Amino acid sequence: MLKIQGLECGYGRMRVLEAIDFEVGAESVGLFGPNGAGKTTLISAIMGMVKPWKGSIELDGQKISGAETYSIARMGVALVPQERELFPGMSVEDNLMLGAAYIPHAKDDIPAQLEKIYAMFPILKERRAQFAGTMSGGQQRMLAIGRALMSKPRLLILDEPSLGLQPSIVAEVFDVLKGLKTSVSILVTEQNVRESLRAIDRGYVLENGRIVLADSAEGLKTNPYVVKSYLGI
Amino acid sequence: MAIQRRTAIAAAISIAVAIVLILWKPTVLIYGLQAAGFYAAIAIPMGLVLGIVHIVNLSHGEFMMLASYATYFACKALGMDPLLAIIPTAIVTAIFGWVVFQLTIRRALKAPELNQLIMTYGLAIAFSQGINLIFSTKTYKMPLDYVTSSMTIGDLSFGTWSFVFVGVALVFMFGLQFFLTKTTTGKAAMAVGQNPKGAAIVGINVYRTYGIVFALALALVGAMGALFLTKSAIFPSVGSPFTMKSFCLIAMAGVGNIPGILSASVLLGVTEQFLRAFRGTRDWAEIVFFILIIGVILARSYKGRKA
Amino acid sequence: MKRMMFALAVLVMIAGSAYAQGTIKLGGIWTLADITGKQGSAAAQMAVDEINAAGGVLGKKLELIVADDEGKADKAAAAVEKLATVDKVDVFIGGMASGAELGKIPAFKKYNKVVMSTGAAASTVVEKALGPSPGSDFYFHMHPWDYNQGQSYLEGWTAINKKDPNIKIARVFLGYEDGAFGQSSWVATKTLFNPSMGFTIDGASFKSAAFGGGDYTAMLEAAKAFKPDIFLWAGYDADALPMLEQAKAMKFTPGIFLGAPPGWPKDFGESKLAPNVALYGMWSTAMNKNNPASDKFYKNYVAKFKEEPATYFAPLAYAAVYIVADGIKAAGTTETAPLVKALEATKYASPLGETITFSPSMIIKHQGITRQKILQWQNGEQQVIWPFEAATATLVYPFPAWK
Repeated sequence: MLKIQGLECGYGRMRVLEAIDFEVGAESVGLFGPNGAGKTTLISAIMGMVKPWKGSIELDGQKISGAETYSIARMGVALVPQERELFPGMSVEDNLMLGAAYIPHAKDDIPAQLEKIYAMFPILKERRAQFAGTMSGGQQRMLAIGRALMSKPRLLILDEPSLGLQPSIVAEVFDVLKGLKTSVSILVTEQNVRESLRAIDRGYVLENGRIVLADSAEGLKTNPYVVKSYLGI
Repeated sequence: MAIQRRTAIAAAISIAVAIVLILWKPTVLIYGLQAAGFYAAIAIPMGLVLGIVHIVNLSHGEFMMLASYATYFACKALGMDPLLAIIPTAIVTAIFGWVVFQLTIRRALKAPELNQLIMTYGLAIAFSQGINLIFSTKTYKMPLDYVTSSMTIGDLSFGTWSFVFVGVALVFMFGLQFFLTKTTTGKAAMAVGQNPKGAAIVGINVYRTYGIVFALALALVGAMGALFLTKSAIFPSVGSPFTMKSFCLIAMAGVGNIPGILSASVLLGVTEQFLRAFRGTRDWAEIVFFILIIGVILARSYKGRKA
Repeated sequence: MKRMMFALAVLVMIAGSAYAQGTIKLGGIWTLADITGKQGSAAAQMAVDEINAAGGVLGKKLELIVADDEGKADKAAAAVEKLATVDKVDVFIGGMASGAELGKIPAFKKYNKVVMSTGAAASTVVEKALGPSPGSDFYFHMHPWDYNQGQSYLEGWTAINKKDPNIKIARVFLGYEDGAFGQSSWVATKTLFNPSMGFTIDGASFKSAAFGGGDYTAMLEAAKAFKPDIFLWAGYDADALPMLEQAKAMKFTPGIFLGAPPGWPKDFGESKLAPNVALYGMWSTAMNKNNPASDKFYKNYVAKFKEEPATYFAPLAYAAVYIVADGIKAAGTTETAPLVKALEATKYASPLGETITFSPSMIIKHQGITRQKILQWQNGEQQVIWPFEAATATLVYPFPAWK
């Protein structure tokens, strides 16, 4: 699915990531690390929002590094950004609709997709006519996930999906993720490592722009460094 | 709920003012509405560009001037009425606008706002000076019979042609509302306007959308340019005052609020005509424009702070 | 390399001075982006070419060096400096806007060369700055001052009224644009059509289409309510047709409808609303019929530039060159004192329909034309109505031909 080799990139003259080798197959992959480690930059690079300096990014063998964000999205990569990036002055339903309207393999299937998303998040159905900007943070997060799923993604990327949410909603979000695992590949970055380890198959630990550890979920759970630094035991 | 009540109060006040004016000074209402339609029809396309592409297009009036010149000479050459030229001019201006967008404005979208202003201002100068070089400062006016169409009620005789601009403003407004809220391309344009980053991650080609919106706005500018020729004489600097006026109306309405442009225009048009109708206040009409702008913007920022 | 450059420079200098010896240089200053300056400079060049083809002046060729004042006082002052010091011109001509002319005056005084001015009507600005004789004797003002214009309007209308008592001008209404031009017209018109002389006057301002206006309805409503015998408007060419259109739509029909813009829009005469609109001016193509100088000027101009002279500034600039050339011939030199003396004897049968002579005005000693003409649009052309000696038609009254 997604294959990154020798990736190096940054902003201006500041290098953020170097020598990144990274892979997501038909599975759920977690990306962990402290604030400022480069998680969001890595996601931005995948989405074409930050241009790589070196290395390559491939999606199913097709090179996507250097492509525009919108064409990467049209190839089946959907992002749930940390800042959600919704259209605040448009209705919930229009937000969802736009998730699929420009994706070639999803745009003809909008009504059915909408029903699916509404079944997954009943609150969105209830508020379908409300402006996205007037909803609570948790509801906006669900809408962002819903909008991403509308595009029938092959790869779903979630950047800190639980950030700023109350625990009950975090649990809800992860339940949804677990439910999705079978149909799409997932890449999720999280600070809430304990919660996300329940939902993933494999994980990477990113520190200071380098990958310092890669292992299965089980392996990470028992790794003494992870336990000490991220699970806080 | 609060919004609905406020709208109802505003509507009630407007109707009351309208009734008073009809009985007392009917020409104020007639010419005020005509002026409002004219202002709004010119300002709405600029509002569209500012609301979605986030560019203050200082060459807005010059684009209209170019459209008027194109219409004038096409009509002269073909012996055609400018009304028949509305749609062809709209198409030509849209294509021209798209090309200008790709060659210039697009390059400045990520630049600081000041650079964008200087660039569109540069375009404005290039357009008006270009026309000046070719046609000189001489003014052109198309003699048309229907523009003197008139209506007489009792002692009152007034021109009716300028009501066309009220119609045009309404068509522009409802047309754009329909486009932006009911069509997929329009919704994508709204999305781009509200959050270009969010639009890109759902697969919308942001720059292409900007280009489409700019071209659409210019199609409206072109249509208005053809109509402008029926009312006004044209000369190289004919467009530039409308850039400033349009910008101020947009500022009064609030960026992205297209129906608001129409309301602001009505407020301005009727107030201007009201002041002009009395000897003592005649010379205040020009100043009221700025007073209204300052008043509305202050009121809005005060309301914003309370909220 | 250096030596070659030096040789070249010497060569250029020798060639330049030799050339200069054979020419009399006229420095012309106009606003070239404006139609008046564009055509004025062209007409002046045409006069220079004609004079050179006929053998030049005192055995030398005339040379016109044109500088652009961009309509601004500072650029105008710089243009005088440049023409005086770099080009070393012998005489200055040109000028249109009073504001730009004002900027030139200090430099003009400094160089004390003869100036044949074709513009600047604002007496309180330009004439005052020039000051009285002898300090301003180098300055020959061809264009009428504003008070000359006003006086001639009053004179003209009184004469027309005397000739045909049916043509009343007791009630006067002025629509004036709200800029400096319109405001000063309003002040002048109020003084001119004074109540003590039996006039009733009123006025209202409008925003000119030239500055983003173009809605005359409120002004016309006021005019209509006043029921004037003569309706005057002071604005720009862009106002001409739209104002007529709105007047017709409102059924506003004064006996005389007179516009006083600096120029008229292209093809104004073709409009169905144009017939019988009166105007003030100094020159019209209709004069070609009974004025041979006008006819000659017009034909040559059209043949040379493939367009019509649009305003009187073209024949005025043309006349300026001839007057200067004749003066230099008579004086035998371009020295200021003898040239001024020669120019004082000028009697030039101009294409503007009158013989130009110079006489003292309110402040300065050398004022040329003092009368403006009353014209009327008839059959797509501006016909001269008054002065009667230059008339090409009689006034059609009352005004609206559109009924």
